[in-house]
Amino acid sequence: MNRFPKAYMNPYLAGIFLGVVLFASFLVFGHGLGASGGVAVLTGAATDLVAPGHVENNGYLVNLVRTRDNPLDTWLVLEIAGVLLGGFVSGLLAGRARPGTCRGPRIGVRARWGFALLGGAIAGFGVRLSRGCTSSQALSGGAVLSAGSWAFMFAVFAGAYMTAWFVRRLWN
Amino acid sequence: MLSWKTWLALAAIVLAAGLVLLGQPGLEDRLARMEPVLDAELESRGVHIDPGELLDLIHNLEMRLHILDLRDEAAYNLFHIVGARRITHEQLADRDWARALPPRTVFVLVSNGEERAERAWKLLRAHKVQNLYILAGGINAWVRAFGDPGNLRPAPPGCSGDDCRLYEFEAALGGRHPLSDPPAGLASRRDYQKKVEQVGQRTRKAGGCG
Amino acid sequence: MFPLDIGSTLGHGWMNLFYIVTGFGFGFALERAGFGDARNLAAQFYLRDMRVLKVMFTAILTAMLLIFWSSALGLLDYQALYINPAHLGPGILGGLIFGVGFVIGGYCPGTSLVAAATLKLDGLFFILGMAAGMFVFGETVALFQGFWDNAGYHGEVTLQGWLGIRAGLAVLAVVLMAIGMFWGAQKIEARFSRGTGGDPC
Repeated sequence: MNRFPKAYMNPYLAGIFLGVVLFASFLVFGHGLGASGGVAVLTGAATDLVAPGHVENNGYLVNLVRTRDNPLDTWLVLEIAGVLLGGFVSGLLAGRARPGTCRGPRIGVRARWGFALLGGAIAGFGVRLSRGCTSSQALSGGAVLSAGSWAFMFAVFAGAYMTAWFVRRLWN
Repeated sequence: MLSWKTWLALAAIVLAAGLVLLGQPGLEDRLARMEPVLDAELESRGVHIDPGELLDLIHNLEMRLHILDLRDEAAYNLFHIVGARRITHEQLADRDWARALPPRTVFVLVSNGEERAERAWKLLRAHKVQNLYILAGGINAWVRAFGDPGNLRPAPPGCSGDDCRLYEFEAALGGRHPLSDPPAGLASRRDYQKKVEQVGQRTRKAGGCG
Repeated sequence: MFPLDIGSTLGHGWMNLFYIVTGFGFGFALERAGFGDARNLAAQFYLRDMRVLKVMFTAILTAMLLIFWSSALGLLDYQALYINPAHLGPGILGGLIFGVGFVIGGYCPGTSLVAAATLKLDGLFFILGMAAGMFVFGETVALFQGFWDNAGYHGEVTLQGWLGIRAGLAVLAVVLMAIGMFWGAQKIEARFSRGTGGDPC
C-alpha cells in the first residue's frame, strides 16, 4: 500500500470518476476534454489584442483566433474556466487550497518557479506541435482509440522518463 | 478472497470480451437506422439537380466540385462528363475512403438514370459525407439536355431496369466527347431550380486542440 | 441517439453552461487525484508513485468501455465522435518535447490549471511558461509548416482500422495492456516507494 500519507482519492477511483466525466463529454458534445487548446486560444487572443496586424500576417494565428466571432466563446476556453472552478472547489473542500509552491526537497522556491516557467514553455511548444495534450489527446483520443493519440501518449511517457534522471535534483 | 481491484480488472476484461462478441454497428445497421429519413429526402427531390445546374457548377470556379460516376467501366469509357471520376462498390463501402473525401466540396453522383446514384447517395450519407447531390435523370437526361435532338441514337436493347443507358455513342471517347463538355451558355437556356447550397463544414465539431 | 446536438436543441447558452460544468467535473477529479501537486505528478517518473499511470489509464478504460458498449447497443454513434487525426511526425516529436517539459515543470496543461486554482504559484508559472511556449510556436510554425501539416498524416485512423481488426479486439487489447501495466505499477511501487513527503506545498 502506498505510504504517502495523503487523503487523496484512491487513484483507480479517481480514474473512474474522470472516465465518467470524459464519457459524458462524448455523449453530450461528441468530443472529449481539452486544456491546452484553451490556453492556446487565450494566448492568441491576447496577441490579437496587442498586435492585431501581426496576427493578420500569421496563418496559424488567423486560424486560431480569427475564425471565431469571439475567441473567448469557444468551448476550449469555457472548459478551462470550469477546470479552474472545479479544481478550486475540490481543493477548498479538502483543505488543499492554500497558497504555496510545490517543489522537491532540495530546491528553493524561486528556483522552482524558474523551472516551472521553463518546463511550461517547453511543454507549451510541444503540445501545440502535437495538436493536443494529456486531456485532449491521451485521455480523449485514447478512449476512442485514435492511433495518433496513442502514439502521442507513449511519446510523452518516453520523453518524460528519458529526461527524469537528468533533472532528478528538482524532485528528489 | 479477491481484492476489489482484481474484481474491477476482471470486470473490465469481461466487458471487453463481451464487446468482441457483440460487435459494433456496421454500415448496414447505420443505413437501416437512417433509411426512413434518407428515403424521405430523396422522395422530396431536394438533392436531385438539373443537368443545367451541374453544367453551371462545372463552370463555377469558386466551388470545388467532384463528379462521381457510379456506372461500370465500359459505360464510363464509352462516355462520361468531363472531370467525372468513376467510383466502385468497394470504395462506397469503405468508411476510411468516405472519411478521406475532401471537406467543403460539392459531390454530384451520376449514373445512367438515378437508381445507382440514389443508392450510393444513401451509403455516402450513412458515412456522413456532406454536400451530396444526384444528377436528376442521370447521363440520359444530360444527353437529352445538351445533345442535338436530331443526332441522338437509341442504345441497343438488352438492358432492363431503371438505370439503363438510353443513348448510343459511336466511339468510346470517354470524357472527350463533345457532350462531355458542353458550352457553358447552354445552361442558361434551361430553367432549373437551384438546389446546391453554400458548402458547409464537416458534421463533426472539431474537438481537441488542433 | 447520442451524441446530442445541444447547440441546436437547447441553444448556445445552455451549451456553454454544459461546457463549464464538464470542465468543473474534470478539474474536480484531477484535484481529488492529487494532481494539483507537481510532486505527485513528477513522482511517476521516478517510479515512486504510479498515480499518473493509474488515473490516466483507468480513465481511458472507463470511458472507452462506456463508449464502445453504448455504441454496440445503438445508443451512441461512434462515427459521429471526434477522432484525433494522426499527424505522426509532429505528434510524436511534440509528445517527446511535451514529456520533457512535463518532468521539468512538473505539470501538464490540465493539472497546471488545477494547481493554479488551488493557489500554487508554481502552477501559475507553468501556465505563463506555456503561454510563452505557445507564442513561440505561433511565431515559428511557418518555418516548418510542411512538417506540421503533412509529416505522417494518416487522417482519422483508429487502432482497429490500422491493425485491421474489429473494434472489440482493440478494446480488449487495450484493457489487457492496461491491466498488465497496473500490475507492473504495483510491483514497481512496492520496490521504489519511499513514503517521503506528505507536507502540503
